[in-house]
Amino acid sequence: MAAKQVSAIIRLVVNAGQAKPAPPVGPALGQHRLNLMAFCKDFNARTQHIKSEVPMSVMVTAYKDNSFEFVVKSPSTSYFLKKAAGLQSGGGNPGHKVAGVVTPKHIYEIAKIKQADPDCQYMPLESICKSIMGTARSMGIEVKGELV
Amino acid sequence: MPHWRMLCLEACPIRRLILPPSTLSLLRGSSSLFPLPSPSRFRVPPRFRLRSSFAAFSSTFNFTSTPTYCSSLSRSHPSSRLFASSTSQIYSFTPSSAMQSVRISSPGDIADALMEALLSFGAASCSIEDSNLGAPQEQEIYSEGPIPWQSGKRQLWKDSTITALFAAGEDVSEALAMAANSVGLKEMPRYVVEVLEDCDWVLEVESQFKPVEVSEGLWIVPKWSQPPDAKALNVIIDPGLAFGTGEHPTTRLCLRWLHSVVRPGDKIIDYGTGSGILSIAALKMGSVHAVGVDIDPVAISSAEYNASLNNLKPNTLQVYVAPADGDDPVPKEFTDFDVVVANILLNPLVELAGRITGYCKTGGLVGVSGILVEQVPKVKEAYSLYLDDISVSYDNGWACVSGRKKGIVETSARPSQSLESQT
Repeated sequence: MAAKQVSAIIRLVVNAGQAKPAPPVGPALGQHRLNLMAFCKDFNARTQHIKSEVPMSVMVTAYKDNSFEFVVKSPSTSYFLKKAAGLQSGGGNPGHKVAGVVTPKHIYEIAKIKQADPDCQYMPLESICKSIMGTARSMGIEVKGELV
Repeated sequence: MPHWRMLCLEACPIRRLILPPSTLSLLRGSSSLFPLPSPSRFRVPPRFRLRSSFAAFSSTFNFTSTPTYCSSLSRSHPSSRLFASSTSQIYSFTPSSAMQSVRISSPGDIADALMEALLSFGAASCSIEDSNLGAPQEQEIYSEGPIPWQSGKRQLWKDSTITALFAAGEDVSEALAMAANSVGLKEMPRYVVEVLEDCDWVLEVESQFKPVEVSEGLWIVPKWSQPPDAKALNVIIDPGLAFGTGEHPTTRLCLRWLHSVVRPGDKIIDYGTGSGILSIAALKMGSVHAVGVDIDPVAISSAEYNASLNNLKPNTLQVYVAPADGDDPVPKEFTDFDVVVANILLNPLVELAGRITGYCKTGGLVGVSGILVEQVPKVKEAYSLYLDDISVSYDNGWACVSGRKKGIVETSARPSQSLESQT
């Protein structure tokens, strides 16, 4: 693929499957004359495997010829863990007080989403799970229960 | 190109560039604050556009297909806006909140970290570009693919400008101070805040839309262009907030499929109609009646407007809104369509496979798209219950799955016995 001249790098957060030409997508991309409809369709199609309303981080590379490419990253592990445990914020006293509980199934589901990330694609599922459990421990969230 | 580009359509009721009295030298004209227009439910359809060099709002509309640049502040009198909307088609347009746009200059090596920090402190989006865009000192950066996510690998411009968008009402200077502090800057970078009224961004971009020949003898032509081939099948479309200009690979796939299957006299249903492009194309190909469904109310007005642009008889295209509770929006008297087309997304296609194929008569044809190549197996699995002779066409990473409706629908995964029952 020939290298193209980059005109701008745009970073934004869009809910999975819910890209529309309205703000925040509209102004952020429209300012750089990018094809909004194409981005919305592409982004929505690529995030179909994620539950809607999960905020995804997107980095769009806009080229001088008004074409663009983008990379989608899922939200942080702590966001998922908080949602799974039903917490608003992480525990204040990790290691001493238990702020919330999640099941191994939650960990597995989160790992599956993370595996689709550009950073984690080459990692085996088991190591992704281990790192999620480490994050959970640092937030004061316990993993309890059997993996069915 | 000017350093600061604001793409605005004057005719759109709630879209304007408003500057606080502090200056940005590139913006000429009065810098006094205009009263914000009240959010209006009207939107002037895209055919009315004004050139950027107007000083006062004139009641004669100059139509242009090039994007307008607000290099001067544009005045817009409420009375003339009302005049505009009274002569125009009324769209249901939901006003969105204004946003604040902050342009921050920063050297390239910290622009990255600053951008991430701003996002954590409340920016809705950030973009980085060359401060010297358009000037002789412009620095060219090439990339062979999307810029990699990991910060260390990004190569940025030496003089960068970060444009951060914040929701109206947020304390921008505080967020910026915290972000600058967190990346280790000793002093606040230079920045300018502007209020960004909601522009019709889609219209801006769609102004680059030119006539395109989707398949042999079938052209999609934007409203303001002349069809390059008057004798070909020309579908006139006015791009707007609804999906569907004909440029997307999925639209092309569906149009080509329709071109090959629609026979004169057919009845068609377009699930996920958007701008109505597929229904209107089918009507022009000889179909007598088209029904469109969409979850977005804007699609209704957009599709009806596009139908009028193509000189179709009234009631040949009827569009319905699919309600949020999931009930079937199509009136019961419309069944047994000859052709069903649905260009939406994977999840609704799989969930509604029964409903979508249910509209079709036995032996009729169903085509679905809006799916990526890797999503084809799932769609095939969902639709093989209802369709025979499934085939897939591809275009640029997207796919269209089509098949013929079975006579008896199996309720379990047994081999099909239904072929002999098809009339």
